Amino acid sequence: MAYFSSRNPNKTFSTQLAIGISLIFGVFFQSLLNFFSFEIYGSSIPITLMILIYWNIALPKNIGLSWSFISGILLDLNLGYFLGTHVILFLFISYLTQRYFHRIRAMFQIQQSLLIASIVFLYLLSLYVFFQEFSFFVILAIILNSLISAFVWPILFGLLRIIRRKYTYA
Amino acid sequence: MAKEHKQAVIAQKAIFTTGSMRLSRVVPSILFAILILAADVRFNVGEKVKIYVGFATEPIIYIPQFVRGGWISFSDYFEDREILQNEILRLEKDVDDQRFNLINYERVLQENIELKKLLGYLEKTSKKEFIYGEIEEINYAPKPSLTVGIDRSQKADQMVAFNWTGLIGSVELSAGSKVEIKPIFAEDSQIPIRNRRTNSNMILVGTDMPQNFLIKGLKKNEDIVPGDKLVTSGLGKKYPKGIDVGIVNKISATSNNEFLEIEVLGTSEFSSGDQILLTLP
Repeated sequence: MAYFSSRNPNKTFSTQLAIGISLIFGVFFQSLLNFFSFEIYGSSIPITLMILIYWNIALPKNIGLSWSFISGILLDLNLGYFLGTHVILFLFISYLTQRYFHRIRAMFQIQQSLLIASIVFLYLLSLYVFFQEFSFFVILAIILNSLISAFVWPILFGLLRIIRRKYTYA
Repeated sequence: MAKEHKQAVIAQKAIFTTGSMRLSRVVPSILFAILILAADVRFNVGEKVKIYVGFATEPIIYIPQFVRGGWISFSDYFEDREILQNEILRLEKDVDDQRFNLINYERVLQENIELKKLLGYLEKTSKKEFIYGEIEEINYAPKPSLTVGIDRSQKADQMVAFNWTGLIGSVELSAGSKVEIKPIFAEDSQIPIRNRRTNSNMILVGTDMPQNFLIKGLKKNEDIVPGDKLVTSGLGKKYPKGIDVGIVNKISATSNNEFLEIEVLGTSEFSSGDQILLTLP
């Protein structure tokens, strides 16, 4: 599962460090949201997923599937899901985004935001469908979180872009 | 427009391009994840892992609590500080109010002292008619005088004026609610007095300088010494009898003159206080 590759070993290390730190920060942030109950009907914006999507689009060759696995496991442990729940979802989403990253990169910002909203919607929906009770308000909460994620995406995109340019530009 | 065109061209090209990621690469990982999930669901494998991870990451778990506690302390600090600041402002306002009250009390106290003194002087006069007034204006030029406000219905003609320090003058002019007081130290003022020690009569003459008088026309053999107290004699009935007006300050005799020149220090302060008693002599 190790798909790390780069011609410059120093850059590989700094790239992996940037990816790892940002993902761990995402997990930590999401755990904080969960801890402080900043949630709408048990769900909050999936910041880890969004960070993972960014790196999948920006550096598909560097990120591989390992980080999806690690961040998924960490999130399962922190949020109290069955082990592997987030891993499966993250792996699937990583596959799709790495497969079609050319198309996603070519999209306008608003199109990307809509795509993110759709992915977040399906991700939250699948978490609810398989692991929690389901109701009308849950659907509303998922829609609301998807919309919030769509608004957050350009900000997150900009921040991670700055990090990528500063620490990982080969 | 050019940028949008370029973006559209890239998008058109990109639509037919896919990344190097293949399903065959992701499927093993997904299968492995499903295996972990199944193991966790069936054998509760995750629980042990979570316990160990929990031990390992215990300090991290305390971070949110620490942050929350820190935030509460931080906000409490500023909340307490704000409460204290408001309390300080309220107390400062209270102190200002109390200072204002104290000034008022002091003014009332001073008024009372003045009135008590004036009441003492009233005992010494005929008490037939008297008026209380307040100083409105102190004039220094061309001649020193006081303007006193009184009740419009009262008549102050022929009256003498006292303040809390003693006899200060006589009514010069009375018009409506205002009375002008001419000081006893005016240059043209002559007050019949007697020496309290010897009971000899004499005339006190003003010098136009406050608390400064002269006695003229006393022969060198007259029994008078510095420190003798002088009171009004009541002769001429312009001033009441027995009111302290001054103390002999300095006695000088010139060889070519048979008369003494005596300087007297007045006891009353002309412009002191606010309250004025006007009374008939």
